Order: sequence, then C-alpha cells, then structure tokens
Amino acid sequence: MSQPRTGSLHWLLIMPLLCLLALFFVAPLYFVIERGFTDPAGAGLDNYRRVLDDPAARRFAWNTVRTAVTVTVCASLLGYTYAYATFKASRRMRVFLLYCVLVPFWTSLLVRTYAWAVMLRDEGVINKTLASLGMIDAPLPLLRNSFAVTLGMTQILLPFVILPCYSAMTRVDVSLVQAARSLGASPTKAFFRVFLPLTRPGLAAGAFLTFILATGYYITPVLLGGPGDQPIAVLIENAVQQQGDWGLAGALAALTTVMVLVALMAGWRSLTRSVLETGRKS
Amino acid sequence: MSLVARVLRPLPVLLIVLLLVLPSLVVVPMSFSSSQILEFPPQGFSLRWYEAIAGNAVWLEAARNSLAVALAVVVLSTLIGAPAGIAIGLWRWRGRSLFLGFALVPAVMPPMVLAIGMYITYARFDLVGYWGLVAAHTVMALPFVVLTVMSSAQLVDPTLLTAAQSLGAKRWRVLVEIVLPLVKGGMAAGAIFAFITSWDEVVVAIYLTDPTFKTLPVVMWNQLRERVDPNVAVVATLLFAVTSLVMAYVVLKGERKKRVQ
Repeated sequence: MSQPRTGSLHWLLIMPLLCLLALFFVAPLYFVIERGFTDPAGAGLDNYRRVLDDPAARRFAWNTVRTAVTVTVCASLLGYTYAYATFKASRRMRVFLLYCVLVPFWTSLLVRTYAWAVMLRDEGVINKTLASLGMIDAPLPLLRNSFAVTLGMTQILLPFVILPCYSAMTRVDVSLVQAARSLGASPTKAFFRVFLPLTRPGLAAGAFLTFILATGYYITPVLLGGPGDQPIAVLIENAVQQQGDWGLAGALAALTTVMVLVALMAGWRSLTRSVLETGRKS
Repeated sequence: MSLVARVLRPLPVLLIVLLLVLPSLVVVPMSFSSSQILEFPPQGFSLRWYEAIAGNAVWLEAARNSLAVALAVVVLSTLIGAPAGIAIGLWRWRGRSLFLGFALVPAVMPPMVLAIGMYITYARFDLVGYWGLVAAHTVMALPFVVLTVMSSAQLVDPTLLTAAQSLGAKRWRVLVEIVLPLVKGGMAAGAIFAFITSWDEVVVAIYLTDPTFKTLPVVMWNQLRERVDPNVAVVATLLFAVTSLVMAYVVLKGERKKRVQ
C-alpha cells in the first residue's frame, strides 16, 4: 500500500493550496456571512428573523429544495440505467456511450440551457412537430415551468451520476453475480440482491453530488423556469442588485452554505469513499 | 426474445443519449441560419453570422479575455493543485480525508454565494477584474486538479519509491524524477477540466468583471437576456467543434492505452 513514513513533506505539498483557499475562498465566505450579522450596523440576528418571517423567502427555499430533489431522483434513475447499459455494452459501444457522457461537458452551460428554451417554446420544434402530426391542437406549455427546469438541470447533472456509478460497476466482482445465478437466482433477483447493493456507494455518491450542486443552480432556473421555480440564488441576487440589501444577502448566503454543508456531511462517507477509490484497482 | 422486446430494450438508453447530446447538437444548425433570430429548425442557410462574429470587436475582445483568464487558471491551479493531489494519493497521513474534503468544497459551493462573497472581499483589495477573476476561477478549478492528480498518484507502485530511496535518492528527487512523470496524465486531465471550468463560468464572472473587462460567458449572458440572434449559436458551435475534437482525441487515446495494457 502507501508509504508509511512521509515525515512532514506532505505539509509542504499541501501548504500552497491551504494558503490560497484561506485567502480567496474562506475569507470571502467569512466576509459575506459576517455581513448578515453586521449590516445594517448592530443587526445581530435581525436579518435572519426577516428571512424566517418572509413568506417569499420560504417560497424560494421550497422551490430550491423541491427542484433539487426532483432532479436528483430523475438523474439517479436515468444515470444508473445509462451506466449499467454502458457496463454491459460491447467495447465499441462502450466507447461511444462514454463519449456521449462527456459531450455535455464541452458545450457551454449557457448555450445548452438556451438550446432547450428554443426547442421547448410554443413555436419550438417539439410543439411544431406534435401539431403537424395532429396530436395537439394548442401548443403544450413546455417552457417557463418546473418541467423545463427539471429537464435542463437533469441534462446538466446526469454525468455526475453516470461516472461514479459506472466506476463502481467496473469494480464489482462479476463472479458474485454469476454465483447468485448458478445458485438459482433469476437475472432480476441477482441484479437487485447482488449487483445493486454492491454498486450502491457509487449511486449514493452521484445522488449526493447532484443534490448539492442542484441547490446552488442559478442560470437554468432563470432561463427556463417560471415564477414558481426561482431558487434562493435569485433571491440573493435580488437583495444585492435591486435593494442593495447586503445584510439580507449575507443571511441568505449563510443559510445556503449551511444547507450545502449539511448535505455534504450527510453524504460524506459515500462521497469520500467513492472519490478515494476511483483510481484504485480492485 | 420477442421482436417487440428487442426493439424496445435499447430505447431507454437511446433516449438518454439524445437527452445528453441534443442540446449541444441543436446549436450547430442554428448557427448557419439566415434569419434575424435564433430558432430551430433554422430558416435558410447562410454564413452571415459567422462573418458578423469575425468582424465584431466585442466578441473577439471577450474571447481574448476568457482565454487569458483560463490559461492563467490552468497554470496556477496545476502548480498549486498537483502537489496536493500527489500528497493525498501517494501517502496516508493524519487528516488526509479531511483535507481532501476541504479542497473539494469550492466545487460544490453555490456559485451565487461565492460570487457575492468574492465580490465584497476582492473589492476591498482592488482585485476586481483580471486578477480577481483568475483567483476566483483558480479556487473553483482546484478541486478537479486535486482529484485527477490524486487518482493517478494512487496508481503509482509504492515499491518503485522504496527502490529509489533504498538506492539513495532523496525524497525530493523521488518526487520529481519518479512520481511526477507517472502522474503527468492526471495533471493533463486536471488541466483540461480547469480550463473548461474557467472558460464556461458565468455567475462569479458577472460579479468580478466590469464594462471594460468582460469574458465570453458574460457577454453571452447579457445577449441572451436582451436580444437573441444567432451570434450566440455561432460562438457555441465554434467552441463545441474545438472541444469535441480535443475530447475525441483524449477518449480514443485513453482506449488505445487500455488495450495496450
């Protein structure tokens, strides 16, 4: 395994990163959260009270959580299916499928989101096709609602589920599944009782990552969502840009940060396990 | 298997493939449109929007700025992230997984929180603009460099290190002459991720740029919110073409390497 004696060399190697993050990441987080307590002068917990009493803030928070949960469920189901198909595919097919996972990474997120808006609108290609087939009389409302947001965000976050799932699958000892089969388990049963539990850490890692990233989304809900889909990020931006209310923005930022950290800690074990094992051969 | 089942079985995967690639592909034909607005399917074929981009100082300037920021981010995040990735992947030490978690947190923080925090902090030190954005994007790109370098450092055979040391090599020499060449692949992958992270970042860039210094995503964002012409599609198509070629090369090379092993 790894070398036991490292002396203090590892400190030298991680020091630059620690310094950089302290100055340019931790300090900004600290200052924005501090604003929540000190702006206006002597605010104390007033900003937090305002957030909790504000029905709009509760609505935005609910939008954020609801969207994140929906996207996590969709991305997990589709991502696991896709990873399994990739795992089972022939070598050539596997290259193709893995390539398709990476394609979204290489197109600007803004542009992909806008492409959905163009396709989903009333005079977009989907509504036009359905109308010309005579399947609908009036255009379906596909844009500016939760459906569009879920679709757009699932598309963006799918790779974050597919990659850890696929990586977990490649580490599974296939003879275990064969053993279950030879002992009389049906293919379905062998999958659900042996294969799925063995790959669950990968799925859990992907799902946590998706949930955490989804809570921070801003661009996609703004471009694709309706008034009922706007997340906390929009509320923060409004507080800053329209009201210049840095105290409120600070309080909202603190609450969002806490939400992310709680989710991160809940998923800590599966995330670090998946991350630390990614490069390791079984 | 019945015929129906054979036809239906690959269908879910096919739909997911479409979901993954459709938004990227739809942009390409839209960029060749001859009409005034961004639409799909496009009306008529022309190169007018490509000509418009080539002669548009705003887009060219923004592309130059984005490139300058992204290249600096690649260099800085590799210099700072690669040693940390090696330290995590190569050795076991106390606090290792805690440090890893800390190093990865910037990648999952809500961009809006980062954006306003960095804005008020960097503004105090007069860092809004080029260097501020470089610092911000380096923070956001580091997790990817740490991850990829760590993964390749984990694959380094520890007996190589022991052998080198028992032959009298100092620990620094072992790191530079043995470990570094072995994690080069991870560093390259990390560098690509770092580049894309910076190149595509919108939210933080909106706050840390000003009217005299804008990056490509910021210009795109402003365009998309005001009037929508196929300019955006042209830029997207050009970027898509370049990055897919790079990716095709990386994936094929990776597969070939695996086969050799």
